[in-house]
Amino acid sequence: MNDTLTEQVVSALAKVKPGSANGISPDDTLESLKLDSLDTITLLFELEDRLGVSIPDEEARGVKTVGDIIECIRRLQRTALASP
Amino acid sequence: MRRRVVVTGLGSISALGPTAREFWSALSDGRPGIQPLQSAEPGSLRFSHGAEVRDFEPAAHLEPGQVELLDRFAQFAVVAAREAVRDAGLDWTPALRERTAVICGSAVGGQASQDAQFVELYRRSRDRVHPLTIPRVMSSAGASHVAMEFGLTGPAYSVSSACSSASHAIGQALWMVRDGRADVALTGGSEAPFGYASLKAWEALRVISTDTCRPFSRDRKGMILGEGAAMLVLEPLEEARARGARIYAELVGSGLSSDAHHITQPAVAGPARAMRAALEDGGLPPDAIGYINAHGTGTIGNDATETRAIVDVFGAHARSLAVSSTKSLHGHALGAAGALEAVATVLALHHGVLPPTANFTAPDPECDLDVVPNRAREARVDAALSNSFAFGGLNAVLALRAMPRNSD
Repeated sequence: MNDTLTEQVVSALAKVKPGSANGISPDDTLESLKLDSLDTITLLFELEDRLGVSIPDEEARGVKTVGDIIECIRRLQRTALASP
Repeated sequence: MRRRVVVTGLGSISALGPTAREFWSALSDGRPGIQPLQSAEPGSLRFSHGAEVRDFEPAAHLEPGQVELLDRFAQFAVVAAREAVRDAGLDWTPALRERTAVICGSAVGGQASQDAQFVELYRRSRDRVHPLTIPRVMSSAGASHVAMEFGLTGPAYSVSSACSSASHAIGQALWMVRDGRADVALTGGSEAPFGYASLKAWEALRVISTDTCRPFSRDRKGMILGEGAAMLVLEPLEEARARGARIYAELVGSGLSSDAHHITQPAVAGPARAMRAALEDGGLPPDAIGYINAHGTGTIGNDATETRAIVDVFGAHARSLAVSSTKSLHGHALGAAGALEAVATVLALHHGVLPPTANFTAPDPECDLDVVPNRAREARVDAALSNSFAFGGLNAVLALRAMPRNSD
């Protein structure tokens, strides 16, 4: 877990839930990191701000793990690049 | 002193129409008032629908000077209160005015007025805001204007407990009339939350459905915001009988509790305790309840949690109860929700018709109750609950009982 996007997720996680980002892996569930629904939408809000993406509600509802968030943002960024 | 308290007047304005009659007609037809939003540009929000009050002309209801003085939420309160008072046929005397309480719920008050004035300040770089901003914004303005409208000089105030505001207000009014602290109460709630900044705040919370409100359905996606007001006239049974008033239903109990758990997540224990407290306050055994107007927001969390709370309180009887969420029709009107739903529950008892859960598609095993899907049902039930469970775990439940048919 060392690319820029992952670093952003780790750093946003550290801001939203201090202490939760130490030694995390993509397989970690948000539940195991003790993120409740309000923490999760706050984390997504923080990432939307940092990365200039807008995460639809449907996608937001689907994220269960750290890896899901990374994948979701990567997909949105690819879509943004593909459209003129 | 413990007096029996009855509902003798109803008023309502909502996406389902400008009067309680039209409200009931849409509820019993299962005709939702949820439509594409008029208050926001298409595409400016992640959601597109709301249950707005359409074609409301303040000038048709208020004197020219009053239109500017009242935020939309307070205008709705006055309009609904007038209808309720007219419906009750109250004959005001100076003594009765002094013995009448006004208790109104509102979660956000005149937020849209504040929003509009702050746009002037922050975006248009004006260095001042309108002098009526404070009187329009204060969330007690609804209670004040209702009191002024009829010259009511008894206890008057607002209650703010997010989505339970109106149910807390009505419960408080019940206790005041029951205990003899007031002889009449004009009580309910009003809300007008369709300011753009407020809509953006709801968008950020990710609880608004991207299509419509489908409480208890497997594919539910969240709530739909609503607006409006509903007001009820409460008075002692004996007084109502003595003056030959039409009695819609008896308001028998109010049950309150706090989850002390989370600022947005629902819980089972708090709502269950509030339902039990309402039954106890109303002297009703659980199996007397035939209908529950659910909080039923249409969010994944609320509907499953509320189902568990109902099963917790009613046990096997939960399977023979009818439970519907009329938010599927009038939207979630926040601080007015409990009042709209109290009116729906009163009229369900009065007419012997249970309003449906509209927009229902498929059952969810997590919400395995009889939710009266899509079509109203003729059923005379003896007693009913109306549930309100607010963000922050503030729960308020009303218990109502049908009046014998010959006392209509």
